[in-house]
Amino acid sequence: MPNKTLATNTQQILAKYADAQINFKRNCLIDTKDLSQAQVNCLFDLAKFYQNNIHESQNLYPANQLEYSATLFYEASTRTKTSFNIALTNLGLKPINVDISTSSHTKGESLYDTLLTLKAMNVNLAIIRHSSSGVLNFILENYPDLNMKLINAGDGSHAHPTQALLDAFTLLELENSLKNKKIVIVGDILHSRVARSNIHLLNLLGADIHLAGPETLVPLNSSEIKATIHHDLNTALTDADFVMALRIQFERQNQGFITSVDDYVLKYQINKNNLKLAKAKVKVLHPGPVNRNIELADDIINDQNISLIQKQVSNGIPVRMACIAMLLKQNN
Amino acid sequence: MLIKNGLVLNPTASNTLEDILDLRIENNRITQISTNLKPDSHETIIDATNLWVCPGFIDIHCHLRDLKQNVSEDILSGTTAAASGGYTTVVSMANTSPPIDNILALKDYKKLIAENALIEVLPLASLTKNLESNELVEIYNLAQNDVIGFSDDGNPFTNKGLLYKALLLTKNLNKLIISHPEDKNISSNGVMNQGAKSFNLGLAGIPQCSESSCIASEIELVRETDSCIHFSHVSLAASIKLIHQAKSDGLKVTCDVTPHHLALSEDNITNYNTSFKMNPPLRNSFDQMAIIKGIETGIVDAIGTDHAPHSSSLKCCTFSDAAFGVTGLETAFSLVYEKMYLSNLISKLRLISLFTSAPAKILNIDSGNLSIGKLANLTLIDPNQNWDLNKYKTHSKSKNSPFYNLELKGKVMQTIFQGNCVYQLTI
Repeated sequence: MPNKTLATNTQQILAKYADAQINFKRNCLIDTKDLSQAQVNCLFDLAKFYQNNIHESQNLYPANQLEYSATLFYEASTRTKTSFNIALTNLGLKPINVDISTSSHTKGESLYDTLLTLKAMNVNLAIIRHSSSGVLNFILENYPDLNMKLINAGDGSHAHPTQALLDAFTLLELENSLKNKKIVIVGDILHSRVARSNIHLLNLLGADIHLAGPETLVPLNSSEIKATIHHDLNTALTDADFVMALRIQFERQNQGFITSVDDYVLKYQINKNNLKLAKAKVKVLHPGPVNRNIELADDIINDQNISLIQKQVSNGIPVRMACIAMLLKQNN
Repeated sequence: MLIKNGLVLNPTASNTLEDILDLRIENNRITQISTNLKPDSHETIIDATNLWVCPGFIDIHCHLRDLKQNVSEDILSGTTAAASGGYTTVVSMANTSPPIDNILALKDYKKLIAENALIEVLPLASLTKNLESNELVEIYNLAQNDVIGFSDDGNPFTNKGLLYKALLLTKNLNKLIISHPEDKNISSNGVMNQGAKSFNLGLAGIPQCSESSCIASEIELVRETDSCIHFSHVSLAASIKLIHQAKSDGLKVTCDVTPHHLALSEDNITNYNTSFKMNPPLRNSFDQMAIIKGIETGIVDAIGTDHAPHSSSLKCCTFSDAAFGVTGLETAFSLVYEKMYLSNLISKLRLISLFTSAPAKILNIDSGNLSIGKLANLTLIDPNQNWDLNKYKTHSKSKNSPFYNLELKGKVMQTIFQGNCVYQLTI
């Protein structure tokens, strides 16, 4: 039997926002850039509720429902994929994990054809990770009749909306508001979808965003990028409320973006020493997976008074449940 | 054939015309240009009242494909598209598959052209074998077989030492070298102009200096060898500045710009639409203004379409995976007409010269000139006709144009090649 409380409460929370336009554009969650304050508030209200009732039941949706949700991960993932699967299961949905490495993709089937195939088997929600920036925009633009709900689980260097949402949700557990909070994102900004989605969302929430990293991995200052750019880590960290480190990809050193990992560590590793420049209560985030002792020193990762990394991972589940529930409820 | 009452526009310096005149064609050549010519019995009469009568257009830069890429375009579809855009002569690039990098390939391609082309096609050969910048092609042999010039377009000349020698070897042959100015080490895996827009879209950027640094270094080769070079699809303020300086120094350097770089900037890229992906990429509005200014001041010599047809399988994919290039032959005139002439930046004659006498001069060919005795290559334009690509039938096999759903101004109504009508607007 469906859990009345979970279903009823979801409806009640959604009803609270009935006056605001909270439907996702084109039935998809592609980027935080497209989200309104009301949508974010609604998502966080739902997530808060699911967080507190996560073990109560599995049944937001009836057990006999005939519609399915699929995850398609064209790139490797541990936490995002697992997190989406648990989120779907918690809602009483049946996650279909399409194993891309053994799927028809290896025979050259396009993403669109794969989606069509899944749709023919009553899959109405696809959660997609892909290496090409804008891949979901491409699908929507070229196949407007697909009529399937889509969630972006990370596309190239473009966007990773659920990561940014769970990051902000984690920060808002510690602060009533992020308005004017100094949030510093450090590392390979250029190739990071996490950074981009965070910039959009944190701007919406009024944060004071700072980006720091080598000149080759941080965009040039521009009025179109609403953040302060730093190449000196100490200046960036000074008086920071929160610091988010990004993973350095080792292949970048062959491309000249960094000269070596050791060289990067010398100038941009966050450790207890340079973190003293930040506010006393500073917390550190990382979207994972972490290269220990490269972008973050071990003693920070291990210090539960500073590191929010495990909290981020846990919060991923209710936040993703909220995204899925809100998307599936619309137009139903 | 008698073309009556058109505004005859001939930009050639030795015989400049801008008058309502009649023009008679006999045996493929222009025989009379005058007022009030009386039709002979049985003579075909074209009423050109309110139309512009111009020399047939010359495209100094297009990709006609065919061979293994005939799904994207073939000689017939490409020249049909060209004729519908007012062109009677096009220079085709050598980056076909297989490439035009030897005598046999040139002869085979010329045979295809002879059998299929509606208009004149002047094929280029590549400058290096397989366009790989490792080994020069047989320059003398290809020159003797009437190749119009040499270009590795699609690829830059990465080996400047070879280019240096090629500039020396071609300088007394009257064969043009056309440069695709780009440093691939700088542009790397970039897919659009580098800047805030590429950052926001999460797409790899192409730094501006990948073009300008190449132009700077190739200008120095021209200076030392006292040779000439033509830079195609110049897209940056920095490039215009370098070319201006080179011309001021008396170097034999010329350049063309594309209609799409005049009409669009990176701000026009929406929803990862791959019809806006080309190389060089759409730049920012500052660069767009600079190339417009470059035409106005005469630093830019000509318009080259860089018509680059790609079948839907090469374009209907994600932005990073899509092929570079857009079609351009059919929309070129209308775009430049609106951007440059209707904005009162250049005169009618200058506008027409960009498509006719200017490329003819760069290519050193006897075309683009409405004078008695010349081959009758003509383009008739209705400057007041608005149109769009959706309603009017397009002729290229490929549909990768960023100009669908846009009202275009000024329409080529008829194209006459060597006295024969090769295109007439039918709706």
